[in-house]
Order: sequence, then C-alpha cells, then structure tokens
Amino acid sequence: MTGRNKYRNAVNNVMLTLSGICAAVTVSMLFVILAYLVYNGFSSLNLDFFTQLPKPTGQVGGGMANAILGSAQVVLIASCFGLPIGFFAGIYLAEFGGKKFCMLVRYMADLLNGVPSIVIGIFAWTVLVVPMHHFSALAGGMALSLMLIPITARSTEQFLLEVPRSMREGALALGATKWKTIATVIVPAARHHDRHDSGRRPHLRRDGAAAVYRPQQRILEHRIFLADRNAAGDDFHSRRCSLRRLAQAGLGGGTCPADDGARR
Amino acid sequence: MATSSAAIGPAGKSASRRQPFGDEVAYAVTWFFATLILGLTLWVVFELWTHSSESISKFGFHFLTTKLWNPVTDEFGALPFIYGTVLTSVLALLISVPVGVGAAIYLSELAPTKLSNALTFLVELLAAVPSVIYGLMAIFTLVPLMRDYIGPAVQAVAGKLPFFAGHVYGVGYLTAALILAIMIFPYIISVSREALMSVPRDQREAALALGATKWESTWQVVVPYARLGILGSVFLALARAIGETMAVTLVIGNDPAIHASLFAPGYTIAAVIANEFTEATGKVYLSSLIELGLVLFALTMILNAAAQLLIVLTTGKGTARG
Repeated sequence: MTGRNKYRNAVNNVMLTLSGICAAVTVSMLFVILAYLVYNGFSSLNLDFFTQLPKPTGQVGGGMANAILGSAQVVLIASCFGLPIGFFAGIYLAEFGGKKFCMLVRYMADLLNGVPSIVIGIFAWTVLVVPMHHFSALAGGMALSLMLIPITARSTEQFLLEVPRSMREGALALGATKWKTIATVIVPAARHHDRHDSGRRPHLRRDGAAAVYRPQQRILEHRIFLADRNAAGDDFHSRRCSLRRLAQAGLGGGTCPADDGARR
Repeated sequence: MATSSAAIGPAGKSASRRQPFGDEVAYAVTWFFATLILGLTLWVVFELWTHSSESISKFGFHFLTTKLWNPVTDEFGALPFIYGTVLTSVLALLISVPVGVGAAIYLSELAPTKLSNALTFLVELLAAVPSVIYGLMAIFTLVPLMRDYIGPAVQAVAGKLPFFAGHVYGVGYLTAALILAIMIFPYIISVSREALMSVPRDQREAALALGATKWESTWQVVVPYARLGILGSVFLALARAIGETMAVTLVIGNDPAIHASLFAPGYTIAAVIANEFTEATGKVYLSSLIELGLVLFALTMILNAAAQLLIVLTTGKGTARG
C-alpha cells in the first residue's frame, strides 16, 4: 500500500513539474523572440528609420517611412469600414434577431473569421484590384476590414449579452423605445461592465462554447491592434530588401491580404 | 442627458412622434449589416468559384488527386499542397497540444492567480507577433539548428525509417511544423486555461477529499470535465495552422512534391498562393491558384462544421454544462 502511495506521489510530482516546464517553455518563446529582435534590430533603429524612404539595395541609410505610413492607412481604412459594420451586426445579433436567421449569421461570421487571410487576399484581388487595374491601400484596407467584421460582430454580441436583463427591462418599463434602450443603456453598460467585471462572468463560465470563444477573441484583439499588414511583407516580395531590415520592422505585419491587395 | 430623459418621459410629444419610427430604422440598419456578413461570406465563395472555373472545367476532380504542378505545360494538381498543409498542421498539433495543455494545467491549477494572469498575458502576446517575424526567426535560428544538429542527431538514431531518411536541408515539413507549433501555442493555452478554470471548485475538492493526489484530481476529474473547451482550442489551433501563410512559406522549402521524409522540403496551399499568385502567367495557372484558395476555404468550412457539431453533440449530452 505504501509502495503504491509512493508511486502515486512520484507521478504527482513528476507530472506537476512537467506542466510547470511546459509553461516555462512556452512563455520563454516570447522572450526569445523579443531578445532576438532587439539584439539584431535595435542598433539600426533611429529617426531615419521612421522618416526616410528606403534607399536602393546597396546604399547605406534610408528608412521604412513608406511602409509605416502604408500600414497606418490600411489599418485606418479597415477600421472605418470594418468596425461600424461589425458593431451594428453585433447589435442585431444580440438585440433584434430571430433565432434561425441569427444562427445562420453567427455561423457565417465564424466561418469568415476562420477563413485564412490568403483567401481573403484572393477575394480582394478579384473584387477590387482587377476592376481598378492596380494594387492600392484601399484594396488592402478592405481585405483587412473583411477580417475585422466577424470579430467585431461577435465581440459586440458577447458584450451586449452580458448586460443584465434587469437593466433592459428597467429602461423599457420607463417607456424608452427599444433603440433608445440600446443606445443609451445597454451599449454604455456593456462598455462599463466589461472594464470593471472582466474577472467574473457568471453566464459565460457555464457555457462551453463561450469559454472557447472568449479567449480567442482576446487573442485576435491583440493581433488587430498590433498587426499592420503592410510593412514587412510588401517589401519582402516586391523588392527583396535585406532580411535584417525586415526584422527591424518588428511592428510589421502578417502579410497576406496586404501582399495580394495593397502592393503599390 | 436632457434629450434622453425627454425621450424616455411618458408624455413628451416629440418622443411619441419619433418612437415607433426609431425602432424600425434601428432594426433595418442593424438587419442590413447582419445580412451584409451573410452576403460577404457567400460572395467570397462565389468569387473564388467563378474565378477558378477554367481550372475546374479543365481538370475536374483530378485536380485534387494529381501530383503534377507544371506551369510550363499548364498542368496542375493540388495533391502535394494538400499533403503539405495537412502534414504540417497535424505535426504542429502533435507537438503543440501536449505542451500547450500541460502549460494550461500549470496556469489554471498550480500557479497563483496573479502569476497565472501575467503569464497568460505574455503567452497571448505571442499571438500578436506577426507571422513574418516567426518566419524570419526560423530562417536565422531554427533552420541552421535543424540542418546542423537536430537532423543529424535524429538520423543517427532512426535514419533507417522513411520518415527521417534523406538529406537534411534545414527547411522542410518538420521545420514548418515546429514554427507552426510555436505560433498556435497561445490559442491552445489561452482557451484551454479558460476551460479548465471554469470547472467548478467542488469537483476538485470532491476528488481531493476522496484521497486523490493533486495530479489525479486534475487529470481524471478536471481535464475530462473541461474537454469540450480543450477540444475547441485544438480546432481553433488547427484552423490557424492550416491557413498560416508567411512563416510557413519562408521555411517549408517550396518544393511541389510529396515526400515521406519529414526533413524533405515541401509546399502548402497557402504558401503556393503567396509565392506564385502575383507571378502567375496564363489563365489556367491563375485559376488553378484560385481553386487552391477554394480548397483552403473548403477545408476551413469542414473544420468549422466539425467543431460546431462537436459542441452540439457534447453539450447535447450535457457533459460540459455544470
């Protein structure tokens, strides 16, 4: 009996240590990447990098100003189209929708969310680049907005559903119309609620699908704010500029829609 | 504030005039945008379909089973790319799932809350690193490491097996799978951790009270309880791995052929589109590449449907609901 208990204790210790090692390994990856970028790229990071255009291959100096500006443009265009569309669609899903139609829209949004960015790039190419006869920031921005829409819609829906029922009923009982309730009570409350109560979401905790959905969306939010999808990839393909310089553009992007859509 | 209380007030004239109309407009506007999502998704499929019509009509279903990829003679088959995509994704999952779930167990069961939150934030930042950075890092670090150390070491032990035979170039299926595994860590860890943390406390306490060790309570009670969430994370990670483009393009070797050896260079669907799309000459070539995009879309759709089905089946049986 003691032998068995010893064995069980040993298994316990080994496995728990292993799980700690797993965590250490995965977290250290981030530091390896950061250290690598800083070590290799920091020395050539100066004002010129942000304000100068790239020099021809072989010349010393120059910067990535065009790529940085292009990234900003693309993200701006994407936000202008993607965020409102996703936001209103999210309101529909949470507040107005019928059951079947909503399920269909949700499924499509999740599908669109899962579509690889390279496929979105092809779509933007056939719909925007070919008719306009040239690559453009507009095409790149639209491609990116297509990726923003489903994420925004589903997050908005989740946030709104977290607002307690009593608040809706309170507003409706005071005589507010439905859209007034949404605009002045539910949406502000959802904003507020999320900031202050991010640790405890009772109804989400119980629902498996939501437990899957929630962190995914958080991850994607990181990705959207940090991804600018132009800087690195564009140059890599069209100009084959030095790999070192691309690594320096550490802020620069997951490349695909930009690669097919926004090459200029 | 004044306007909103006027609108909410029971007897305001302007309010009663506006009210019914406002609701209709709000409904119409939000309905329009919701339908837009539906329409856009269908539009993507439609565009892919119409633009790949030439390749579809020329090759038919043979497109999916042909190994040949020859732009000179205009003969195209998708098999090497499908093989590469599936192989690298599955390998990445094999590496990433045990390590990721292990890390998630540590973060949810062992680490103090503050440490756990901090580490999870760091892991999630891993998802924000642009994929081209992963690719570059892999070119400069992983590829030489694979070529000079890992490859020869593995071949010294198991070089007779077809999976490890052949010359080690550094680039290839295994390198791509390794970089993919690192890229999908955050999805697996973050989602699994959330699922593990949502297991009610009394489940753990009951197991411990019955005399289970910490590990036994975790592995036999908590993990099975959270299996829906963990499976969800695997599907999510698989979807990401299949669609990943830039990092894989840089390290897979870009060879449109099928090799049994994991050290051999290969190709994936996303990589071939990224490499050849803007250089495609000829209509059949281009439409073949677009059809590859369609295949990728179909793969995503199947995965998505499988994940949905899984959730419906599992929740239908009531396992993951408390």
